[in-house]
Amino acid sequence: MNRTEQIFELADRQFDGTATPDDVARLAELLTNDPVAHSIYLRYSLVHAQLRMTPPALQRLTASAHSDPTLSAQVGTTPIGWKRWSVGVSLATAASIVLVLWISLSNAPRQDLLEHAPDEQFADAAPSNYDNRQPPIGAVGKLEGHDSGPLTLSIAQGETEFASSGGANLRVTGPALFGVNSPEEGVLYNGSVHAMLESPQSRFSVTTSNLRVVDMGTEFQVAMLDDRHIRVQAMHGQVDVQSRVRLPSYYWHFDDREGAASEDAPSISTPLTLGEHAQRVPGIVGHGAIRFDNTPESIVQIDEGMGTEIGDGLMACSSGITIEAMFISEWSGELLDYDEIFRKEDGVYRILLSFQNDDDVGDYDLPEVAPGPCLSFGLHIEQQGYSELDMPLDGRDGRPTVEQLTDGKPHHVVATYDSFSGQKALYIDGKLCFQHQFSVGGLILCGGPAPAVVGNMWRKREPFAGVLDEVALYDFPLTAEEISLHFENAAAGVCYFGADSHGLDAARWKSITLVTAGTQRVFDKLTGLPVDVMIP
Amino acid sequence: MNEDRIHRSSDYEDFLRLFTRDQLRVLAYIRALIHDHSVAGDVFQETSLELWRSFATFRRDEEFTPWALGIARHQVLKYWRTRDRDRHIFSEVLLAEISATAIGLASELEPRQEALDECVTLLSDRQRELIQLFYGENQSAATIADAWNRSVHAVYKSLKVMRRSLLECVESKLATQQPNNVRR
Repeated sequence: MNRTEQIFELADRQFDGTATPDDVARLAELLTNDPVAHSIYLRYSLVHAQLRMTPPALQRLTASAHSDPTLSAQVGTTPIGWKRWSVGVSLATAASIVLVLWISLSNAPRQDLLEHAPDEQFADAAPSNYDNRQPPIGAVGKLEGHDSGPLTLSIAQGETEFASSGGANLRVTGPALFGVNSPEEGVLYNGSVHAMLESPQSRFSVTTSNLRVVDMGTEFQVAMLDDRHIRVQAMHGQVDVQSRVRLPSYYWHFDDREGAASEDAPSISTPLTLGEHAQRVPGIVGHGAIRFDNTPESIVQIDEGMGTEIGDGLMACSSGITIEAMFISEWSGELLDYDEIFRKEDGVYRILLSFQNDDDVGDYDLPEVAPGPCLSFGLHIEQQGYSELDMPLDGRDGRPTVEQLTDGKPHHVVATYDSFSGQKALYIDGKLCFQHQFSVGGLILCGGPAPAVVGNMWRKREPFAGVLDEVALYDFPLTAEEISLHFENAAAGVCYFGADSHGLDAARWKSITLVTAGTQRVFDKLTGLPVDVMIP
Repeated sequence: MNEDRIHRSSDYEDFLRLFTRDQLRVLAYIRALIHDHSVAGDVFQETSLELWRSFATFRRDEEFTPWALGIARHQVLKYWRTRDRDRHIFSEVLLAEISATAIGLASELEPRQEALDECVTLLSDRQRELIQLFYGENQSAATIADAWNRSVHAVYKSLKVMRRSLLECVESKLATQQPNNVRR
């Protein structure tokens, strides 16, 4: 890619709001002390700027100016939905004013996705019938009660106040990055948030990576002091500061034998439905695993963890996710052959980890890669939509080849996404092999009514060929060190978490300490422990 | 008192006449430097107020456009300074360099807009719809992708392809308007 093309590529990311700090630094490098590069950049920027003043862009503005002249005046005074919120925040940011917004989540189900049903049905019969990402009506996940789901607010300066429908009055002080993933929960990436509850029944918690601050009917503030430390301050009542339990939310080790007592199994089992051709075999790790014979009926359906809507259910994740598995693959690697490892098909909010070779059908790959056999990790990230991290299996830059992954030996695969770093990554046998950098703060949209499936997908069209074992789902990203350790353990034939571990814990968070009224504590968000530092 | 009012009324008329003529140039300048639509709108609003506040200092023998763009430049730099810790923003030195170069493009703003309007008519219906949704209605790429049953990446790619072809078209039209077809 020559210099001009690089400038265009990076400028495109700036225009679209997807540029990372590294992209901006690279663009700055290309522009610094180069008047010709300035001119190229500005002429391209002008196309982006002036497109807003072209007839197609002004078309709707002209039409709507007559129909809704008071729209802007309504922002901030009327109960509003999620979409309007971003408009309000922009105003608040630029003008440094306090804007009080009421987030009112209606209970009425949103019907617009269902109203598009005929198109979706036709899409199902479209010529690309091997693209099984086009679900039929009924299988499409939908967002309940609000327009666009969770949002991450970027507040450059000043304060923005709003009330969650969970009953917390929140004040975010910029510069801040604050995600609201549910009416009762927020994710603090940067800056500070102050919460005051309307009533003893109200609830609100603030998560920062490995720590969660849970109100206990109180008023509190959480502030990021630097990349590692957070300060928790209770004004009234007390808050419970909790650390994350770094174990999976689901762990399918397949060691439970039908009718057998499960005391020899390392963890709690979950209800499964095995297809006729999903056969229990000796485990890669532990007693059992499942063999899939590449036929439609080789499928394992997970019969719990579903929710009613996106963001709901025990498999819904928001600030991070990990899918981990051991496999022995017999994948052909041929064009249009898909082998699924894990898939939860909630329409565009699906979670997917599979081997693919589909000539880039649907253009889901991000970053864009050359068509060919790949390992694909699909997720829907807020404001980015659904995309797949397609790791080419080409043997270049430390990536494995199809032949290496289908050599008849067990391999370990891990897919992670971390909204705190923006990194989406794929690891093979304990090593990072491919990654993409998203903007920090993009929450995951997933969960919902579709059952998760191991070794196939809902249409039974993408069966795995080989053995799958130790499939685990986490609602947070594992670290590179944890992944390396899991691989070493599994390679030694023991559970990821060590021979004595049960691998699961019913609790996702454990209390570290209480912070009571009038006091404040500083915590290390990586270790989850309180630290003694000067509090600024 | 009456004389003051007459002066102010006359100033206001002068300002309106000049500002009405140049406001799109000012807006395009700001938008070329601040890519977030809503923030650019806020900076434009602040610039418009500042232009009126400072109009008393405007010498009538000066050109209005460079003066207005100088004030717009100051407002853009002021906004950027509020985000100096944001690693998504260029350094202040680079921003000052780029905004100075942008003032040099001021005379091209109108011909570029006219050329762009013509080039847009050459696009496909789908591309014009994309302009309407993304630039006119401020719909996110994710929303458009959902509505079109495409991936977000595909929408970003369509925007990229469209912008590149429009830049090529605009430059080509401007080149043919130059004496002796000299390319800029």
